[in-house]
Amino acid sequence: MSILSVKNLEKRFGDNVILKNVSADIEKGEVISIIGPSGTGKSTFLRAMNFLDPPTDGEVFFDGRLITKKNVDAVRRRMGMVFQNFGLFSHMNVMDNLSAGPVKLLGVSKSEAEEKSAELLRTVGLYERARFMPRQLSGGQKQRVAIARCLAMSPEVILFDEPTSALDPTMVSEVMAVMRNLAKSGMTMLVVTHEMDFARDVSSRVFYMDEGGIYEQGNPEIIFNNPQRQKTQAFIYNIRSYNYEVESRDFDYAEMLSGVENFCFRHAIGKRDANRLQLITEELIINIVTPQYGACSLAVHFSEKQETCNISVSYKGESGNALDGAADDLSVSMVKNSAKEIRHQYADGINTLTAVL
Amino acid sequence: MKRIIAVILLLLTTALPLTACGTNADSENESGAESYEDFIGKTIGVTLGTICDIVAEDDLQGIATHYSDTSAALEDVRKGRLDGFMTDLSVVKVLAAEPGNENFEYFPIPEDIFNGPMGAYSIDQDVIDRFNVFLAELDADGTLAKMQTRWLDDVPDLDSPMPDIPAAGENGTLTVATTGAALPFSFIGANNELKGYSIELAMRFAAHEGMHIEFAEMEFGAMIPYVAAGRADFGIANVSITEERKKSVIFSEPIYNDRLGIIALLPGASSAVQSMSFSEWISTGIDRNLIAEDRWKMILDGLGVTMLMSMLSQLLGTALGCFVCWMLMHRIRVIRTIGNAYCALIRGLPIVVILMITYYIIFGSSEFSGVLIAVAAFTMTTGATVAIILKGAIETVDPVEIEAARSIGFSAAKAFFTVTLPQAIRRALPGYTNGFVELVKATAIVGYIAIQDLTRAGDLIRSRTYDAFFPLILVAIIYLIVTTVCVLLFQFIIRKINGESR
Repeated sequence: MSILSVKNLEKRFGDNVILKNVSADIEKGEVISIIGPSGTGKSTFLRAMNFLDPPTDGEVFFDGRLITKKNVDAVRRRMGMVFQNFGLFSHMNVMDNLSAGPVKLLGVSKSEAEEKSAELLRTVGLYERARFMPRQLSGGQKQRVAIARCLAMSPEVILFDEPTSALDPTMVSEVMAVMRNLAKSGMTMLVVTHEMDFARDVSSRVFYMDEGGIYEQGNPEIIFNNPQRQKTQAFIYNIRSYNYEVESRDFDYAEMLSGVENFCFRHAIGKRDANRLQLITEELIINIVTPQYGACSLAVHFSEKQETCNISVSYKGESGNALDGAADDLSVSMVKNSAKEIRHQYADGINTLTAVL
Repeated sequence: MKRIIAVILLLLTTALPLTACGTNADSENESGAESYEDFIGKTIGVTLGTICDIVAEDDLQGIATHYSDTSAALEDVRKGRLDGFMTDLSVVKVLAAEPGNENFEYFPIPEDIFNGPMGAYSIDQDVIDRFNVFLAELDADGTLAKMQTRWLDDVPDLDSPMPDIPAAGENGTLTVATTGAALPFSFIGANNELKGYSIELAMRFAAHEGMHIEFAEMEFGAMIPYVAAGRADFGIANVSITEERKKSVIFSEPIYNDRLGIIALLPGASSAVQSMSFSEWISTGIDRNLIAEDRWKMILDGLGVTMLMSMLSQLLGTALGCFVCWMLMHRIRVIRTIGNAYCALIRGLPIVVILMITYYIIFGSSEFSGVLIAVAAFTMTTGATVAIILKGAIETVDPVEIEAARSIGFSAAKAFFTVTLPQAIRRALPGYTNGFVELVKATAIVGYIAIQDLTRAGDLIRSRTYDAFFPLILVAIIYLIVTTVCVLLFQFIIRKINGESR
C-alpha cells in the first residue's frame, strides 16, 4: 500500500485554480523531486498534502487513512515538513527546537527527548551548536536544524518546500549533503527544488509540474535526458540557457555580463571556455550588433552531451549579417577567432547570429 | 551602580531650581500699605471663579491676576510679583497668622463693597428645608454666633480639636461633599481629620437629624457637579451663593456672610523672608509639611492609594486587554469591528474625560467607592493600550514559525501558546512597562472624583501650609522614585526572561 496517495486533488484560491485533478501514489522509501516553472503550484501541492492549505476538492490518504481537518494534527506528527525560510522557533535554542515536539506532543520525557535530539544534531553536524539561539546560526545551519527538528518526531515522510532557495549559494551544499544522507537512509521524501543536480542524481522519480498538475513524471534519466512532452522539453532546455533582452544602446551591460559569468559557474564550464564565451558575448552585443541595430536579445545555451555552447543574438531589421556591417574590425576578428563556427539566419524580419563554441 | 548614580543626578536636577526659589527675592513691590485704599490701581492676585476679580478691577481700578491655587498666589506676593492677594476675609486672617507668614499683614475691604453670603446646597429641597430649620435653631440658641467667633471672627486655633458631636445614626447616613482645602471652613488638620466651620456645621446638622455623617473630599470645582449628580446628599464648604450655581443646586439660607480682604507684605519684609539657605529651606519644609500634624501619614496614605489603583488597574486592564486583543484578531469581522471601535473610542478620549464619564454617568447612581470606579476607568484605558501593544507584538511573530509548529503536529491553540505567545510577550514587555508608568502618572487626576491619592495629598498639604513648592517637589520626587523602581523591576523581569532562553 502506498504511504501517501493523492486522488483528484484540486486547489483554488477564489476563482484562481492552481491545481486540478492531481493524482499520485508515493511508495515508502521513494525520493520524489518536484520541478517545474515558478507559479505552477509545486509548493501548493506540497502544502495541500499536509493540509497547511487544505485542498478545495479531492482526497489525500496517509498510510491508507483519509486525511481530514480533524485528524490532520495526528497525521502531521508522522509527516514532517521543511520550509524555505526554516521556521525555527526563534525564542528557543537549538536543543529546545528539537525537543519541543516530542515533549509536548508525543509525551516523551525531556531527558529522553534531549538524548535523541543530541544524536540527531550529531548526524547533521550541529551538536556543537545545541545551546545556540537560531539567530546565531547561518542559513545553512538553520536549515539543517530544521531538518533535524523534523526527524525528532520520527516521521515516515518528509516534505521539503524549496529547502535551499533562501540560502546563499555557498550554503546550499551543506544542506544538500544532509538531504542526500537522508535519502540514502531510506526516508520517504518529496522535494520541491530548483537544484537539478539533486533531482537528477538522488531522486527515484521526478514530477514535472505544469498546467495545474503533474505534467510529466518518470525516472530522472527520462525527464532530464529524454523528456517526452513539449513543455518538459522546453523547461529542461531552458534550465541550460541564459537569456537577456537588450532594450536599447544604453542597456545595463554589467548585469548581462555577470549573468553570463554566473551561467558559466553554474554549469561548471571550464575557465578557458568561459573566457571565450564572455568575450564573444561582449564583442558581439556591445561592439557589433547594438551600434547598428539597437535592441536585440541574447540566448546562451549549453549542451552537456555534446559539450558545446551556442551564443545566439537576434535583432530586427532587413536581412543582413551584422558582422559584415560592423565598423570595428578588431571586434569582428576577435569573435571570428574565438568561435568554432558562426551562422547567420533570417526569418520573419528577424536576423539571428549564432556562434558555436 | 551607574543606574543609581543616574537616578540621584535626576533627583538633584529636579531639586536644583528650588535653591533658586529661596533666594531670588527682589524688593520692588513692597506695599507699605495702611488700608485697602492703598491697593487702588495695583496688581492683585485673585482666585479663579470668585467675585474678587470684579472687586479688584472695578472698585480698586487695579489689575487682577487669576490663580487657582492660594499657595501659588501667596508665593508670588512673597516674591514681589503681586502687590497683594485678595480672597475671603476669614481666609486672609488665617493666612496672615500662619507660622512663617509673620511678614504678611491683611487689610479688610469694607462691607459696602462686598459682603457675600455662603450657603450649603443640595438637589433635594427637603434636605435644604430641614437644614434651614436646623440653622435657625442654631442661630436662636446662640451656638452659631459662638461657632463664628471660634472659627472665623478671631484668628482661630487650628490645632484645637473638634467639639465632640455625638451622632446616633438611627436615621441612616448623610453623605457630604466638601473640599478639604479651604481654611478655615473645611480643612484637614492633625491625624488627617476634617475640621472647620462648615465641617462642624455639617456634623451638628447630621447629629440634629440623627444621622451618621460621611464626608467626600474633592477639588473645589468638583463639589457642585458631585452633588448635582446625586453622589452626595449635601455639600458644604465656603461656596458663595451665585445665580449661576443656583441653576445646578438648591442653596440653603446663608451660613455666613463674608467680606473680602487683601494680604500683602510688610514694608522691607521681602528680603528678610527670602534669605533662607537651601538646607534651612529643606528642614523647615520637612517640619511644616511632613512632621507637623503628622502630615507624612497623608502622603503615605496617598501613595498607597496611587499604587493600589495603578496595580489593580494594570492587572485587570491586562486581562481586559487580552480579551480585546482576541477580539481585534478574530476571524469574524463584526467582533473585530467592535474591538477596533472600543480601542478607537478609548484612545480618542482624554483619560480625565473617561474618568468623569465613568464616575458621573456610567456609575452615576451606584454605591461603589470612588477608588473602585477609578480602577474601572483606568482598567478600560489600560485594556485598550494592552490590546494594541499585544496585537502589535503578536503580528511581529514570523508566520513561518507558526506554520512550522503546525506542520510538526501542534494544534492551533498549542502552537499559539508554545510559539506565538512567548515571543509576543517578550516583544510587548517594553511597551507594557511604559504603559504602566503612564498609568501611575495618569492616576494623578483622581482628585477630580474625591479620591485622596498622592497628588491630592500634596495639594491638601499645600492648601494647609501655603507652601507653594515643598509638597509639590516632594510629590514629584516620590513619583519619580516609584516609576523608576517599577521600570527597574520590569527590566529585571525582561532580562530574566530573555536570559533563560540564551
